Amino acid sequence: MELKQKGEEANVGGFKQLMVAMRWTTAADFDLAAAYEDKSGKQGLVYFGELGDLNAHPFMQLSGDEGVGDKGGENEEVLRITKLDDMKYVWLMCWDYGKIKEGSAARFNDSDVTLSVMDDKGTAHEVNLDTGDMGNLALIATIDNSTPIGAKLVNTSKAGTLKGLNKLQDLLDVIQE
Amino acid sequence: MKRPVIEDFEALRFGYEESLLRRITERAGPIPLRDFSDAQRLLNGRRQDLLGDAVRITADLLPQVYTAYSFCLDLFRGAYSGDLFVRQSPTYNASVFAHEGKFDLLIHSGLLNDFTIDELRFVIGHELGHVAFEHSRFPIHEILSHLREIPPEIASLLLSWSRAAEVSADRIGLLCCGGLTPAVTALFKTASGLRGIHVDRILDSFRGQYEELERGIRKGGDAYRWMRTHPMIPIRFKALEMAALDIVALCRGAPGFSWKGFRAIDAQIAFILESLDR
Ligand SMILES: [Zn+2]
Repeated sequence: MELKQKGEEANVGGFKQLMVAMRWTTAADFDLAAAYEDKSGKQGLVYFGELGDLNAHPFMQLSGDEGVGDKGGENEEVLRITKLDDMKYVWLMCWDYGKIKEGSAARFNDSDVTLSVMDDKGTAHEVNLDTGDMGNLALIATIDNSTPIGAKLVNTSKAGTLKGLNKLQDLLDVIQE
Repeated sequence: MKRPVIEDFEALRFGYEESLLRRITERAGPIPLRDFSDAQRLLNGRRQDLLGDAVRITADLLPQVYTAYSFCLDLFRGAYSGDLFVRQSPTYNASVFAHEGKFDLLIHSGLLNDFTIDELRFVIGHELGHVAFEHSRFPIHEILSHLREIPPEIASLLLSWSRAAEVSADRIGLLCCGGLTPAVTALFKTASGLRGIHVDRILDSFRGQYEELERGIRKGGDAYRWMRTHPMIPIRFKALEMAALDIVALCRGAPGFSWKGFRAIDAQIAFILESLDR
């Protein structure tokens, strides 16, 4: 099922796992990340500084940190979520780290970055990567696992501008505004 | 489901299986492979038996099952040929013996009665995985039946290898069924003999069991010495759970897949199994 309308929900029959891949070759330090709130209300972030774990909480993991120092080449960051049971929300996001340091606009539009989201049934989900004119941080989709029906992916694309990556709350402010 | 095009099945073999084979060879010399004529004789004998007391599944007899079987076999684009047989038995089981690209696959009637087509694909794919990875070349059951004559260290490595070989075979099963859910429910039915249980309960049960097993093994204790050739079900589950996204992505030609990413996941699964094997 394709996700094209902003805010449109796609209940894909309660998916169990999700894989997000970001690839680019242009010189930029893009980062993929996932902020989460688990069912006990605890919040956390899986990002280059805390890659996560597939065999223990939070059961999501980022493959690594590529494009560091705005390097071009075969850059690839993959986020895998193998278990969602304990999660209430997961916010999938990406940012331009080089530009966050300066507080200026991301270079997504000038890059060849591609994003793909696939669930455990092999269903591909389309997501938008739109940071507007000024943004350097984009929320690309939200996994809503707050109801008993099962996890659903919501295409809540939002953008924000950060100067420096300091607190999880700064990210959550963009997400929850 | 569109049939995936896989160029290199060998790349799907569990890395830990390869490293165990290397370790066994380093310590004990080359593993005595099954003799060519011996294997030929076994294949022929088994085929005679199957023709005698099992039923060959054809497109006319069971169209849906035959289609599922062909789907799995065609993944290998003609590299292997063989027949699918069914034999009356309520036990959820299947087996295969292969030699020189030829095989015969036997499936018990209980599976055909109680498994969905996707679950059957997992089971058939698993057996074809043993064919593709040439697991029949190692006469593991014969070797282990002389267990007392084998140095304990080598015996333990052989057991670890046969468990790792199951993980490799499961990956082909996953490739054939195209999703974590049918793979997990097939594994559950095979292990428990139960059907009609919701996949969420199955996942909960497997996860809980895996966690307890992991805790027990880490604490150490002879109760957890594995003396069975099939790895304990929770371990196979964990290996499936961790590799599923990548294999499904490979299977669908999804952009999320890369061999680099797959190798990294494979190494993580190997790390878990190796630490439990120690
Ligand atoms: Zn097997």
